[in-house]
Amino acid sequence: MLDPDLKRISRRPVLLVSAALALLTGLPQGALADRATDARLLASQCSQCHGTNGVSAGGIDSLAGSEYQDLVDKMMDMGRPGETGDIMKHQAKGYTTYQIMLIAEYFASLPKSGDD
Amino acid sequence: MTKDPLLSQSRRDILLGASAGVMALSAPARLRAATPKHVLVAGGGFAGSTAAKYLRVWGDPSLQVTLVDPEKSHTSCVMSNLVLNRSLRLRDLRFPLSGLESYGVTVLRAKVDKVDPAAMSVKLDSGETVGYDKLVLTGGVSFIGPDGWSARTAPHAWKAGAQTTLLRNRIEAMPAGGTFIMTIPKSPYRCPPGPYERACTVAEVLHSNPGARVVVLDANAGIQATKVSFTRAFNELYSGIIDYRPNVEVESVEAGAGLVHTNAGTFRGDVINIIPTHRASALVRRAGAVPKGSKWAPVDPLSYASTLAGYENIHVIGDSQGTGQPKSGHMANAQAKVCADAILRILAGESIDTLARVRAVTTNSACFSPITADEASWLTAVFAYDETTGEMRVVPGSLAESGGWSRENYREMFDWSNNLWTDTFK
Ligand SMILES: Cc1cc2nc3c(=O)[nH]c(=O)nc-3n(C[C@H](O)[C@H](O)[C@H](O)COP(=O)(O)OP(=O)(O)OC[C@H]3O[C@@H](n4cnc5c(N)ncnc54)[C@H](O)[C@@H]3O)c2cc1C
Repeated sequence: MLDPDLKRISRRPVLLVSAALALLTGLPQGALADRATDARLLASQCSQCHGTNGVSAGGIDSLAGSEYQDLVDKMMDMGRPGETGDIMKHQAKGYTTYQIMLIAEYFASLPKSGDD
Repeated sequence: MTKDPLLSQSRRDILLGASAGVMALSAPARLRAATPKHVLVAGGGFAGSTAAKYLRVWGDPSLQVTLVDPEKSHTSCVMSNLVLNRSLRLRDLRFPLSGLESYGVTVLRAKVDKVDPAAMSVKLDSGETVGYDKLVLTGGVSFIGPDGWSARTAPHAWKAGAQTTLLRNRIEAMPAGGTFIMTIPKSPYRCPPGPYERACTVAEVLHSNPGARVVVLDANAGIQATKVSFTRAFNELYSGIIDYRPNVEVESVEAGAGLVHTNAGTFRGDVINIIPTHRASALVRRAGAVPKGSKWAPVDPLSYASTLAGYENIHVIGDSQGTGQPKSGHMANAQAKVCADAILRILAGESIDTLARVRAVTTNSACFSPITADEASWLTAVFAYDETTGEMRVVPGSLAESGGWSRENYREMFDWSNNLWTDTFK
């Protein structure tokens, strides 16, 4: 895990910082853009079930526009040892804390989908 | 204003981005190559359609993406066992490839006949030669049948379409108290739980045919996936109907006489469903992407680029690649995204093996199997890139199965497949 200090980082989702910077400068910042590209790749692995760009085709929750902290908390809760019996509880165990943070940053940076 | 259509397209994109505010600006990602590049994707199944779509969704607007497939629509194998009991119709499983045109993918209805890695071009069955900067090969699987076998007399129904209908008709025409024989090839084959799921579906249909039996001849030493659910289903739910025999390898078939000859003797059946040994698609093999003595294409899981010398610009995804990950539609979609991301970075001159990128390379599988007419089980796993071995590895704790079946799972199966199809074909 690259950053074990989840709580500190979690108050500053980097994609949103990057978005703010980008708005000021008009251009994405190199390193931050890389991080966003990595986050996008990770998050795209949720799309088989949660829809392209986190907008579900129905029946399964959309993730686009989720609250960053909410998504991190949910994934961390489901990923606890002993939490079993549901696909997402096992999927959640498949990612490091760092990966979960990136995924949450990505979906939090997208506009909420129209269906809710 | 410029007259260059590519440039004006990207300007429009920038304007759209500005109005969309935070989202578009925080998105990194339109990695720009120096000159417009062309990626050709051969095969519009789960792997190819996802790759073509995501190359356009993520790529610079100037990136040209062509998808080549001889079929107008892809017929999904995923959920096709449900055609056997008429829960679904074949047409529910057809996805027009033109659905990807809205992303700017050029869809060509043709077969790729030849690949010339040195010239970086392919030859189509129309006679046309098309060049590429990057080539993505798919094609699914091809079969090595036992002696005497023909798909007409002993259907595999392991590629959805006419074969599925043929098998369904045979099952429906089975005589009273008849025997259905199905054979399972040695792993790896596409959809590890698929054959066991089919045994359950057929057994369920045959409930109304007293005395009818389903004989499952498995070349493997045991059930290959979702083992807890299928073992219970075979032993409890369908005991007396399903006769499961591990370690039975087919040697030859005489379909006219209803005979299947194996290393464990000869079996007689009224309907014979041979699922033959699998290997990479003819497309991938003919391209030279499978070494002699091997069945699958060796690739680097950071990009799915072939590891063979001279094949640096050729990527292989889906069932034909040989990383050892389960051969499933969900997985083919997952690999396509890693491949698309790698191609875009490579075309933009960026590296694909920085520590941060390597740690963002994951895939996953989720698979639902109907067990009864309205109950299903599931199986799931997450794979991550292992920095020491350079292979994709199951993350401990993520591999799990439902350990039973329920109506809720059956409902979720439709939500899952609908989302998977939409993420892939629409
Ligand atoms: C009965 C059954 C049930 C299944 N259930 C599931 C499930 O529940 N979940 C799951 O995830 N997976 C399931 N699968 C597995 C899944 O269907 C495959 O793993 C998946 O289709 C592989 O994707 P692919 O793109 O490699 O191949 P395919 O999806 O088979 O696509 C190959 C495409 O290539 C095209 N093509 C072939 N040759 C050429 C050529 N020369 N030029 C151009 N195009 C060409 C074909 O027309 C086709 O469109 C199931 C499979 C079966 C048989």
